[in-house]
Amino acid sequence: MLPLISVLTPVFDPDPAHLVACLRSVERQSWANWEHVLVNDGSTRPEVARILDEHAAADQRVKVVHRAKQGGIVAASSDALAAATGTFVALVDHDDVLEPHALGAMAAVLGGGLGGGLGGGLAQVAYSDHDFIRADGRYVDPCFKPDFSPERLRNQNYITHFLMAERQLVVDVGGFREGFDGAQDHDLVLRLTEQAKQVAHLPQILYHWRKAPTSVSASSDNKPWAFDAGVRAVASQCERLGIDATVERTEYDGCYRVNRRVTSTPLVSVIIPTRGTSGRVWGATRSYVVDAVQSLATRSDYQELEFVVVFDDATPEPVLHALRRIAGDRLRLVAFHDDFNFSAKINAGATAATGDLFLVLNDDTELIDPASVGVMVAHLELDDVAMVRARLLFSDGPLQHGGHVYHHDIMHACLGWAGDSPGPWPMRPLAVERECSGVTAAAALVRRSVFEAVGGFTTELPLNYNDVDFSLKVRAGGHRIIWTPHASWYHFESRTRVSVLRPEEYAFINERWHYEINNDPYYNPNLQPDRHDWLERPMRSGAPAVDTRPNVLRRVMSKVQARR
Amino acid sequence: MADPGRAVKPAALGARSTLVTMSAPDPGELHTEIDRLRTLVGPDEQGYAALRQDLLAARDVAKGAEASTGALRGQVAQLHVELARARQDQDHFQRLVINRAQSTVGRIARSVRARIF
Repeated sequence: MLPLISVLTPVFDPDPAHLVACLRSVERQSWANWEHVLVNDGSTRPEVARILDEHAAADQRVKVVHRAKQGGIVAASSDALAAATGTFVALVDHDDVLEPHALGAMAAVLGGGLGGGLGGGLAQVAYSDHDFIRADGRYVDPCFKPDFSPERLRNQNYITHFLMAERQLVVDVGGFREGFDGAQDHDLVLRLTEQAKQVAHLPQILYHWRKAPTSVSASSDNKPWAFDAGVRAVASQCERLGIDATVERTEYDGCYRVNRRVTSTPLVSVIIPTRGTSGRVWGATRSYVVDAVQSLATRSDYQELEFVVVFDDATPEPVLHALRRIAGDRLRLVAFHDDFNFSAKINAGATAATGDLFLVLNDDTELIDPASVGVMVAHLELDDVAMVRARLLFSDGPLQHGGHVYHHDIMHACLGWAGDSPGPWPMRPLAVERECSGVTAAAALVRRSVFEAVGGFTTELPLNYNDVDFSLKVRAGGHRIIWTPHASWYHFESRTRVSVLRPEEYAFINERWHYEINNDPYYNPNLQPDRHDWLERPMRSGAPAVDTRPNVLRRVMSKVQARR
Repeated sequence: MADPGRAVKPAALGARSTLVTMSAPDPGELHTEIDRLRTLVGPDEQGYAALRQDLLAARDVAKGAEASTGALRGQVAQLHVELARARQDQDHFQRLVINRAQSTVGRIARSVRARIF
């Protein structure tokens, strides 16, 4: 016997045609064992009640509950949950449309206490990708989501639709809570994912979210209070998890900022490999390492710093002298006598460092935001976060690093986009703190314990991909890596040495991490390979679907559909 | 601050790297350095300071100018994505239409051939 899936739909004054489309999309599910629980939340349009009642009369799997007066989305959703009897519940809005295989595909990855789902899944919560239905009926703006990304979920309800979960788990976490109207789904999914043993993501568009004129999907101006409720939902989670933080809206609706307070101030060892070169930036000559240290020493709000500078023999003495003058007794100089090997230099610096946290920093950098180090340190107060990485900008402002993307190549996310861009719509990956598969080592904060546990940087990778390898070793240890847009440095990329790509280094990384560099859980298989800008594969961008049936057949079929 | 009790043994740093201890500077060396710097600065220290101010101001102007270029560069990068999206959809659409047209033409040709021969 297939487990019963309860589809929960609160209804309030939808366009009747849209409501019918929603009802039909559930009715046509390939998964037969479902019930559709519809709660009419005091709709003022008389045809809504009529449509619902007619639908319930025609199909016994449809349950309709009429509320005497409007109670809001939370009250209606709670009534729907109370009336549901399925093993799983699926949340569908009253004007949205499911793909015919949506319930079946989700059930396949959910366990439901059945000793594994139909597809062998054990997850208690699952979500899919979705897109939007424009007023002209076209599907647009596909949301190709990452696999479960808890930090991102705090910053942005990237899950939204389509969500399905074990009903008992939804009940156990308290169901829909009063006070979160408009962000009740965000509040629920935050609590569900805290408790779920496993959260599954199906990279398929199973849900079409209608851009109704009154919906948040059409314009964020429609329900501005929804984002205030979102702030409360995230703040509530921070409280539950013991994250000492305030939460605020950002300039991008639906994106929140979690301002963590640094509760302890561990010593941060800033490890900088250098050969003391100078170059011209912004029309003036700068000594890279000196200015990198100076910017941190004079600008950073977080001053529990020691500077471990690993320098080549060729480093000019005045550079070392200037470093001593700037950093004083916070400076530890490590002379490196071998040929250039970034990994070996970082490892040498780590051995000489005395801090509990290492800030691995390229010498061709300059701190921008004084709060950066504090922001990064605060992230490491969560035990499972091992590494945090900042936003890096080129000297003229565009983005140099927004986290790595491993999607059939090794890339920097949104390389060259405007430095203040939120990133591609609708996912806005540059506006939020989020998990990444990997980050560059040009300004990365990592725990000493994790650095030592993974054996530091791999010296077989002297020039390239050592940060990729290090990141993947950290993640293989079960740790999370966070990229934050709220910490930023300039990175005068490749100005201190000539960039040389060695085939043997790529061969090494490809052999060791072949699966990982082709399957990034924080990207999406529906996105174009070898690209880093969330460009979807062809014909997913709202262009009309091409109907290749002969005209006669097309006309007949559309008439049949209209009659049904 | 660094814990002096955790002094690092040079051998622990790995092959061919050594922790450099910072000894007190030699007064003679410092005098030489002062002479060198005086030579660099020249007789008018205020003039040197003003020159540095000018340099910093010029640097800020250059930074602003580069930022303007950078903003455009960022927009171009974003427009490239839109262009790539349009192109790939167009390619895909054309492939569908051409395939459809080719199969239709083939079918007609076959049926004509069958009737003639």
